[in-house]
Parts: sequence; structure tokens; C-alpha cells
Amino acid sequence: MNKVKVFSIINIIIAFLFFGVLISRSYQEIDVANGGAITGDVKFIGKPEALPPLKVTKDNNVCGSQKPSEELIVSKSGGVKNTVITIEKIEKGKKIPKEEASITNQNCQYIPHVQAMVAGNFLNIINSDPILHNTHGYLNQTETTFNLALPIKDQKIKKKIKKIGIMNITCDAGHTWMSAYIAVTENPYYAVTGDNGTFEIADIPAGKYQLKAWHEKLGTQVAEVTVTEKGKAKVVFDKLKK
Amino acid sequence: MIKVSKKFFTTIATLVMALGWNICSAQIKETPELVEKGEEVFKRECVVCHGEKAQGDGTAAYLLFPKPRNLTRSVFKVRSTPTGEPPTDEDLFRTLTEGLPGSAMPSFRSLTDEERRGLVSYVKKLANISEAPERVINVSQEPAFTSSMLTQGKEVYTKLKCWECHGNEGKGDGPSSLTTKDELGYPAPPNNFTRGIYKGGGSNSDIYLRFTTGMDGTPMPSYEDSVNEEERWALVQYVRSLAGSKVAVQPGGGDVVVKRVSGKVSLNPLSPVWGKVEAIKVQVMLLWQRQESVDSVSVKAVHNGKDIAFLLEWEDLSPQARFTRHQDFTDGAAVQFPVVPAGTTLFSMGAKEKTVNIWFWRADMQLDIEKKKFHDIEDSYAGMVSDDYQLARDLYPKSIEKPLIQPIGAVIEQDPVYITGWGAGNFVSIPKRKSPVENLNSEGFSTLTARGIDEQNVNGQGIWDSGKWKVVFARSLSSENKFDANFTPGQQIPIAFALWDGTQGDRNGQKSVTPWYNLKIEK
Repeated sequence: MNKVKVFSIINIIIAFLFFGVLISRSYQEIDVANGGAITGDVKFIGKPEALPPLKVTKDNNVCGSQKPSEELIVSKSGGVKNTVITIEKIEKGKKIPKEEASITNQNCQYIPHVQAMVAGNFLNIINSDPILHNTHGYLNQTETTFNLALPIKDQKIKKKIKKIGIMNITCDAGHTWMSAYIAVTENPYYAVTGDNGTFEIADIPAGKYQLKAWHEKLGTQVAEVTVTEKGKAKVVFDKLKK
Repeated sequence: MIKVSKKFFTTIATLVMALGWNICSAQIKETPELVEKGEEVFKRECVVCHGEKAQGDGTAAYLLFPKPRNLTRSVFKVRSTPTGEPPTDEDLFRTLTEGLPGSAMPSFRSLTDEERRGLVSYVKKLANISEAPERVINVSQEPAFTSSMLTQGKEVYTKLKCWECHGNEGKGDGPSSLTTKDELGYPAPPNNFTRGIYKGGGSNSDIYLRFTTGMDGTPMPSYEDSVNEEERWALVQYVRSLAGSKVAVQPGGGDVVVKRVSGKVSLNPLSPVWGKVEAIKVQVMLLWQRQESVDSVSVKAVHNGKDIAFLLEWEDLSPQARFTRHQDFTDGAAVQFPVVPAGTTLFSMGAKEKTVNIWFWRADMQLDIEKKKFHDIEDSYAGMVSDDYQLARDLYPKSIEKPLIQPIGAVIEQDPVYITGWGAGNFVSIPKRKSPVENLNSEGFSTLTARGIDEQNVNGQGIWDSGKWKVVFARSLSSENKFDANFTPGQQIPIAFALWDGTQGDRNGQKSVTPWYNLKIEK
């Protein structure tokens, strides 16, 4: 009996090792010398509609009475914040940083609102509010990736994020206005646009790539980009659509 | 990169073999034959709700709440694994075997072990589950019950904010209860613990697992990182205490014996002859969930070599037989048999060329019989008048002496020629009824067909007594008609049951049902 158990444990370990081999095979880590970069802007053409603030319907003492809508933030010069830029289907490239991402429930709002991380890395889910938050990650809108209760202030739960796709984070504890997005990527070549709508992705091996922009409200746009050694390619996304 | 050597290949081969062995020992041994078997059973038993492509969109799906699972997405509520992880084979097997109380997922314990194992393998294939879950949550040793656990459990319930959804008294009515939605945006009301309905089973370890793992695809989160072992067991005891000893069970088939008796078969539900027959408790499941529902029907069955009779009894504290206003619905009950018992027929009202025979008792028809007249709107609302039936024999041609306004209840005095349903011999429209039971056939949804008046051969009687409906269905054992079920002493035939609660708005596909039971007719 004991022998069987030991054998079984060994097998589980072997199985994990084996799957490990399988997972890392889809993206190959190499040393990138003389890599190029892609910089660019995400632009909104025209005048964006002003989105009304979100009404807070629960726990007003902690959450306040309303929250600004983060669905579409456009700078004065037309730069679109919170757009996720990714390189699609890159077979080899720079090492995947073993860094942990985090999302914080703070004053009944997710911080950050949009971020990206590589599949296989850990996400810390944090509650800094003295109330119950119920952080529910839905991959591709409908597949539960995690569904965690955070009833205690300053609680932190670490969760490995395994599947690739756009994950929508919602709060099932009656905080219906709360929403955030995490783009889970296969490779470390990603960026999220800042306040002025710009981005930069560096250390890319020379080659032709498909660069994809995704924004929660505006949709997506794909561009063909050629990266040269030590070069800087420039891309402007201004035709995102759903 | 790596130079692929012969040795490397051997290592990989060993790993693959070892991996295969590992799956064999920890999980169900999956073979292509087993998956194929599962697919065959799935096509037979599951598609009506889960759909041909298992996307939760079968032809019955619109009648069901909660909705049938989209099995292609690998999101499962009842698991013993952390949130976001796939269930174990055992979890899936258990859901198939026990069903999900509080939903229309019945127990499939009437399938063989192999069929259920096949289904597990096939469902995993549909859901694209290729890896084992990263770990299984270990249910710790349960401490012995002490009453202080209830006090502690209540504290934990408060501290973890369970009440925000489930309410202070566990009735599912907390402040967030109206905002909770499932992954598709459908309302997902929090469980009312006082009813003893637990989707993942009612044992203490089941309840422990539900809040520890959470229920993926619903707003019920995982509390694995929020509560220690002692608190978990206290919470289990407290949640259990809210329902007393009640634990809902899903129907899953079983035997119903038709006892052979001598003498006449009585139509009277209160006849002492029924006292000599053992009752079988048949669990029923609501298709569309609500807070109040009957959970079982008591069934007695007898035959005397010539006639067969069933007595159904179920609790209903608000009998409803009025059927006159648009918003009124009547209580009812039905039994269903396949016309040809051999082969497999869906319990969901048959399928093409797999005709079922349905006997449908309705409280409104019973009332017509008791009153020896058509119970019409002025019977519900005394003094109500309306326009006359324009072409009534006695009223046409109209004369000054006769009033133009007549109660509708005078329908029997009218000429059937002008009351088309009656005139055409539609059983539903007959104002003078002989039986409160309709004889019908069906070959799937939207095909329910009433038989002609001369083929109405099922008799019955229903009485509301002591807070219960008590209804007898009776017919001769054999029938010449090819659309009638036949009952042969010494043999077996599938039987299924359905109940409608008119007060709750039940009608048509909004009802409580059972899967097939096995009717054993004594020699």
C-alpha cells in the first residue's frame, strides 16, 4: 500500500514536470541582444462622450456616493489610457519576468483598472477596505478563473493565473459598479497605455509581428510591424473597433 | 537548444507511461471506448437540457432555472478543488449520481457505473479538461458537535459577511441578494438555508467544501483563505442548524410496485382499500426554482387483473381549481408511460417516434365534474355578467321578452354547433365532463396532443383533504389503441410523474417532475 502511495506521489511529480515541459514549449525564452522596440500611441479621433460617474449603491460609508467611470479615459491630446498592447504569436524572445501582479480593492474601486500579466505568474488579490469584497475573475467574460471572498481588511490572496485571455474582474458582494480588466498573455511583450495614451515595448528580436491593441470600450485593432535590430518602430492605433 | 538524443526520447516515453499510470490510479481510467460510451449516454440522456453541443442550450433549457450548464467551458460549481480549478473525476461522478438539489439536474443513479464513468470522461472531453486539478482540498477531521459550535458558527457567519447575501436568518434575503448574478448575467439568488437544499449535497463535509471551494460560475466565492479549521466546522454546524434535519434529495428513479388486489379497484382516494397498500415516496424536482415547492409525491398503485389504479398524494396548502382569468392556473398531476416500453425514451415527454402516453388530472376539470357543470367566470365571481352567446338556440332570434344578457355558465344550454371546440368534439372544450383525467400523447416538447373523445379511457377522482391533494388515476390494464400504454402483470414499464401548483402559477412546462421510475406490476 505504502509503495503504491510513494509511486503515486512520484508520478504526480513526474506529471507536473512533464506538463511544465509542455507549457514552456509554446514560448521559448532566449537572450535577446540588439533587440528592437515598438513605441506608439493609441488615439481617439473626435470628441469622446463624457461618461457619467457610477452610482454607489452599497457601503456608502466606505465607498462614497459615486465613482468616476474608468471605461474610457482620453487625454486632452486624444491619447487613450488603459489600452493593452500585445505582440501576438511570438515564438521566442526575452525571459518572462517572475514578477507578481496585484489588484487591490481600494475604496470600492480596483487598482489598477487595466493591467497585463503573463500566464503562469501569480496575482495578488488584496482588500484594503474594511468591508467584504468578493473578487470574481471571469476569463472571456464567462469562465470563472477565481472567485474569492475577502471579508477581512488587508487580506491578500495569491492565485496562479494559468489561462490566456482577457479577464474581467467584478465584485459579487453587491458592488455592481466595480470592474477591472487583466490581460493574461502568453509572452512578456505587452504594455498598457498610460495617461497620454503612449506605450513602449522593448527587447524584441528583429522580425515581423502582429501588434494588437485592446480597449474595453473601443475594441481591438491589429497592426503589422517590422522590428529591426536596435531599431524603433512606431505604431499609431486610431481605428479600434468592436 | 536541447540536442534531442535517443536517451531523451526514452525518458519522455517513460514519463508518458508513468503519467498514464498516474491518471489510472488517481482518476478514472480513460479509454476511447469509455469516452465513446459516455458520448452515447450523453446523446441519449443529456442533450435535451445541455444541448447537442453541450452548450447549455438544449430544447428544455428555456424551461429551466437555474440554467443547464454549458459544459464546454470547464466551469463547475460543485468541486473539491480550489476556485478556478477543474473538478476531480469523483466530483463529476458524484454530481451525476446525486444530481443537484435546487435545480432540474436529476440524479442519474439509475445509469450503470460504467455509463456514469463514461459520462465523466465525455464531459471532461467536452470541457477540454486534460490536466488534473492542481490540488484537492482536504476536508479536515470533523470535531464532535458541541452546542458552543453554534454560537461560534453564528459569529463566523457574521464575520465572514455570509449574511450580506444569505441574510441574517439564512433565508437568502441579505442586502446583496438582489444583485447576485451568474456568469451569464442571469439572477443567481443566494441559497435559503432554512429549506435544507444544498446543491453539492447535505452532509457536513459537503457544506464544508462549498464555502471553502466556492461555486465557480456563481457569486459564491471561495473562503479557503479567510477562515481556519475550527471556524469552518462551527460554520458548518450553524448553517446546518438553520434547516433543522431537512436535507433535499434529487429524484433519480427507483421501483414503484403495482400490488395485485382482489375485488374492485376504487376510484375514491379515501377508500379504505388504499390503506392496505404501501406508499412509495417519490422525490420531485421543480424545473424553475422558487422559494416554495413540494418536494415529493406519495404513490400507491394496485391492479386486479383487469384494471390498474394509481393514488397520488402531495401536500398543497392552497388548492387552486379556478381557470377562468388569464392569471389563474389550476393544480394538476400527471403520470407518463412510454407507449412502447422497450428501448429508451426520454422522460422529458418523449421524442420523435418514441411516443409517450400521458394521463393528466386537473383540479379545474375535477371541479366541473363535482358541480356537474362547466365552472365558468361567474362561478368564481358571483353576479358577474357578460354578453350572451350570440347564436344560442334559445336566444336566437332575439326577442324582447328574453334578456340579452345571460351568464356564461348557461353554455350547456347553447347549441354546440356554434361553440366550435365542443361542436368539433375537442375534449378540452366539453362542458359536460365524464372524467377529470385527460388521455394524451406526446413526442417531445410542443407536441402534446389530446386524444379524441372516444379515446378518453382514463378515469379518476381527486379530493383535497387535510392539506393534500389525493388523486386516483384508473384505466383497464390493456388497451387496443396503439397510442395507449399497456400494463402486463408480471412485467415492468417506466413511469414518470409531474405536479403543477396553480397558486404558484404553474402551467405547461412550469412544473415539478421526476425522471423515469420503474413500475413493477405484480403477477
